[in-house]
Formats: sequence, C-alpha cells, structure tokens
Amino acid sequence: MSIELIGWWLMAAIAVVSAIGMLSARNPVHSVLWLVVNFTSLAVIYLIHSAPVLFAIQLIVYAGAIMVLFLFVVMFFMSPQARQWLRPALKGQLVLGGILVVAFLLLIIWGVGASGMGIVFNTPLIEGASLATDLTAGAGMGDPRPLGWWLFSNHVLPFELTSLLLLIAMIGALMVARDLKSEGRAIVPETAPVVSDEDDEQEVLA
Amino acid sequence: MPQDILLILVRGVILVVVCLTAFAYLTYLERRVLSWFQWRVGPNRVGPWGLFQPIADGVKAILKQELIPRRADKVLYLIAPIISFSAAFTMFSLIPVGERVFLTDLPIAVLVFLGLSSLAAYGVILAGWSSQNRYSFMGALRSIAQVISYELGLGLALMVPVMIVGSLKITDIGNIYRAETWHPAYLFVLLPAGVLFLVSAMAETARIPFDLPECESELVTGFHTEYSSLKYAMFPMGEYMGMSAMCAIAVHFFLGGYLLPAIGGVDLTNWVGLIVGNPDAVWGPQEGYWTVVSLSALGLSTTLTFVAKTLFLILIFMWIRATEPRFRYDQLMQFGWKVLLPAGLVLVFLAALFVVLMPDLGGGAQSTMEVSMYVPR
Amino acid sequence: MSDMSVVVSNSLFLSAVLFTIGVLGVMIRRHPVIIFMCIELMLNAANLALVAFNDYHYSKAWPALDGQVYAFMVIAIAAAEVAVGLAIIVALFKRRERVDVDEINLLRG
Repeated sequence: MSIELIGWWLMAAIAVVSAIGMLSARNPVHSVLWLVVNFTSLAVIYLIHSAPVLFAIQLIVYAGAIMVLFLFVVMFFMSPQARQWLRPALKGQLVLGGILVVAFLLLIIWGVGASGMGIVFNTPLIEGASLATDLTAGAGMGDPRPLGWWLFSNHVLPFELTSLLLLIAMIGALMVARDLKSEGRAIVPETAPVVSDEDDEQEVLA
Repeated sequence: MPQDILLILVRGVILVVVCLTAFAYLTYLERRVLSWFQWRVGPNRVGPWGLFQPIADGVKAILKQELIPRRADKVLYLIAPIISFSAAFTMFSLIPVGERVFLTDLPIAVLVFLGLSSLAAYGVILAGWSSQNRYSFMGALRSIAQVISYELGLGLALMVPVMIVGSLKITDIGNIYRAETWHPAYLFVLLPAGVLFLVSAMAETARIPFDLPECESELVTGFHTEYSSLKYAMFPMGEYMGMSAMCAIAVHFFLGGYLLPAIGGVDLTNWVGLIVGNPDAVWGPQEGYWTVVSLSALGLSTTLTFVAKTLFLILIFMWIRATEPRFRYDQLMQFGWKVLLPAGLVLVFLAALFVVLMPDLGGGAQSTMEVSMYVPR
Repeated sequence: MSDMSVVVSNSLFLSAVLFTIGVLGVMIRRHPVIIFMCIELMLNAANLALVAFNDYHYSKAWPALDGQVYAFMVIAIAAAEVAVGLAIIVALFKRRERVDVDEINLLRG
C-alpha cells in the first residue's frame, strides 16, 4: 500500500466517524466541532486527489470562516441544556429514517455497481496519465496555476457571477438579520450624523 | 526515501527546538523592552542581566498546581491550548528562513498560511467557551468576531505581492525585491499593503491595541482566565509564535525576505552568492566539500539577515504594545470593516492595474510553467 | 491496478456514505442549525465526488479541471448560502424563544 492509500483510509475513517459524531452529539457546539474535523479530513482527501488549491480553500472558507460563523450562532443563541430539539417529532421517526437512509445508501451503491463504474474505475482511461504525475512533472506537486488557467479561461462568467451572488447574499443577510424594532439602540453604534441622533431622541420623548 | 523522511524529521526537530528557545527569549526581550519604555529595570536577577529568567519562568509554570474547573467541558478544555499552540508551530514550518534553508516550500504556502491562521482562532474560541466562565465566554465571542473581520485585511494585503509576482510560493515572492526585477513604482502599492498587513496581523494575533479577547481591565484575562500551570503557558507560547510567524511572513512579502540589502543597484545577495554560493564560477570547478561549505555560508548569511529583519518587526510590535492604548470594541469593528477592508480592496485594484500595465513583472515566475499545456481546447 | 485509481473509486463510496449521513440528519433532527449543518455535509460529499471524478478523467490529451472548478463554485455558493441561512436563523431566534422547524410554517415573523 502506498502512502496515499494509507492516508486515504485514515482520513476516510475520520470523516465517517466525525460525520456520525456531528449527528449524535448532544451539545450543539460539539456538533459544530465534529463538522470542522470532518471538513478538515475532506480537505486532506482533496490533497490526495491532487487538488491542492481546494485543500487550502476548504481550510480557509469552510473550516476557517463558515464553521466559525456556525459556532458564533450556536454559542450565542443555543443553550447547551436545551434538549427538546433532540426528540423526534413523530413516533418512530428515528427508526423509519434509519431504514429509509440505509435503503438510499444501498440504492446509490447499487447504482454505482450496476453502471459498471466500480469496476471501470479501477483502471485508468489512459495508462500512466494521471493528475498527480502530471503536476509533479510540471512545476512541482501542488502547483495552483493549472486550476487558475482553467478557472479564468473556461469559467470566467460563472466566476464573475459568483462574486455578484456573494455581494447580493451579503446585503440580503444584513437586511434579514437587522433588528427593526431596536434599530435606535443597535449594538453597533450609529455612524449617522449627530443631528439624526437628536431627532431619534425627540421622537422617543414625544 | 528513508533518508528524505529522516532529513525532514531532523529539520522539524531543529525547527521546534529553535522556536521554543526563541519563544522563551522573546518573553524576556518583551519584558526588558517594556520596562525600558516604562522607565523601570525589568527582570535582571536570575543569571547575568536576568538571562536565565525564562528558564525560571518555565520551571515555575510547570510546578504550579493544575486546576480544571468542575463545570468545564473537559475534552475541549484540554484540546484548546494544544490547537492554538500547534497551529502557530505549523505556520512556522511553511516559512523559508534562508536561501535553500527551509522545511517546506509549498506552491500554495500563502493559502495554507491563511488557513492555519484562521484555524488558530479555534484554540481561543474553545478555551473561552469550555471554561464555562462568563468572562472567558465574552473573550471567546470577541475573538470570533475579531478574527473573522481582520482575516479579510490580512488576506487582501497578502494578495498584492502575490498578484505582482504571480505565484503563491513564498520563495518566489522575494523575487520582486531582487535588484534586477525591482521597480520603484512598486512602493506605491507594497508600502500601504505592508502597513495594512501589519495592522491586521496585530489584530489577528490579538496583540495589545487589539487584545480585546483578553483585555484584563474588562474580562480579568479573557479566554484563559480559568487556565493554570503549563496549559496556561501554552497560550502565550501560541501567541508569541503566531506573532513571530506573522512578522516572518511580513518580512518575506514586504521587506525582501532573506535577501541582503541592495546598495546602489548592486544586489548583495547576488554578490555573496557569486563569491561563496557559486564557487565554481569564481574558483573553477570545486569538489563536493567546498560546495557544501560555500552553500552553508550563503544559507547562514541569508538566515541571519532574515532573523534580523523579523526581529526588527517584532520590536515594532513591542513598541506599539508599550505606547498604544486599547481600542474600544465598536472602534475595533468599525476600523476593520470600514477602513481596512476598503483600503485592501483599493490596493488589490491598484495591484491589478500594475499587472495589466506592466506585463513583464515579478522575476519571471509566471513563465516557469509550460503555459500552452493548460490553455483550454 | 494502481493505488490512485483505488482511491478514486473508494472516494465515490465515501461520498455516498457522507451524503447519506447528511440525509439522515435532515430527516431525524428538528433544529434548523443542525439541519443546516447536515446540508453542508451533503454539499461536501458532492464536492468529494466531483474532485474524485476530476482526478480520474484527467489526461494528458485533455487536461480538464472542470471537476475542481465546480467544487470551487460550490464552496463559494455555500458561503453565500450560509450567510443568508444563518441570518434567517438569527432573525428567528430573535423573534421567538424556541426554534423548531416544525413550528416555522409562516412566511411572516
């Protein structure tokens, strides 16, 4: 077994264990942390699949930013003592869900097997041409430039649209989370000119 | 292959030993520098000039009683210092310290560095949350908001040299500063980007004008209030290592890395490199032994340059700590989002203009790859 | 049969398992934050499949990196989705003490 394969099995085990841990943790903060572990192990699997840039982006965006946001919301708003959300709403929801999910998993595995992919995928299309060897032969393992070329030539329009989407999402999130009722005494101090502050006070007094 | 692994292990051990010693003497240096600023003596009793003070501190930290709060979340409470400590050390493994002196020189080192600096925040957050103490918890929440806000400035500042060079590899970045590729116009973007990076780095490592997560006048000592003994000592270790790693990265990106200064258009690194680094050219073909000696001379001179530059930035951090008062929390947030982020965006825009207007930039790092292979169908 | 192609086919099955765990979470949990995290897990499982396919289909004749680019886009869009989703959850928490997806059936707060 090569180092890649040993590393893959290790990371796959961590990924599955942490996914189950995320689901079964009683404390929501633990759930978030299990998911961070899961995303980090997936990042290492990306590295094994010769996707170094995705490894870094997974660490920065998922583990570093998205999960920290989750942690913030969970710490701020969820009491670790609250347990009521753990109880299923329907009778036998857990059992039924488990059965359906196992059926779903079998369906996917059967699909992969029936399509012959499980077998085909054990032999490369072209002997000796793989992403890993190609990248190592180029400018050294983990060169980010191929992805850059591909992203900014074939996929420029989706990339630019993504930036627009992020801007819209940012504005939307601000609007949704803004507390309209206590706007006057917001946590973030007003940057509006002093005149408008006085106006607000007068309204309150009136 | 086994020799390679052995070599990596030896280099790793050297790195850890050097870093731990450096940490110990950074604490000593900081105490001396602060006392100097504040017109007092500072530690001078243990050993000559108090030089053994860090050892005494270490022994004291180890021998202290270890307390774990009863209501603490035990596992996370124990993991938290390990995260902040090891993330900072891993950052150091990415940074080359001299010409051909490095542990790793990854092609995506900048991205990995940014990822690690955001992962390091988990240490602080978990420490604050798992202690089950109101003050610690407030420290954790502050730390989350602060890290998310200032990471943006950090990343944008780093992108400026990255765009000029066209590479994410740290040793390539230094190519801007070589005499043959340097252009004075770079100063217009690199100087503000360097300042932006240093300010964001100060906030990211929670150094004093930005030390809201530990802020002793409001939160006792914030996120590590409930920690004692060696576990407590690991937080300052992580903090100092993180600060040094940030300074080292700043040296690579904005102060010319390990290159010796260029005087009057003559690059001293090339000069040293010509004489001691490239003996074949000067004295004719040499035997292997002499190549080793001259290479180590080049490595040593560049490493010393690098350490000197990093120490200079660390001293600036200490100077700021000694003179600046702490931000108020809302000022911190406004500064991050309304000043640093727009400034970073403007700088990235200017750097993009540079790349468009002056296509042959950055020491030819772009041309090292077979571009035609990756041009799409 | 090289080790790397074993890794590719293994990754497909790992992706299936992770996706299934995510589906299970959406089915049995009632808290919006936990459900949201399960959706993130499903997105990541899909990303893993994309990256694995890319690794397999890459060849000298056609050095395509579309799979990695799609995964990149998924991550960017997931960031936008999380920002909006968490904003909605925060707004919900502000309006009522107890948050349960079964009780959220009105479009206005």
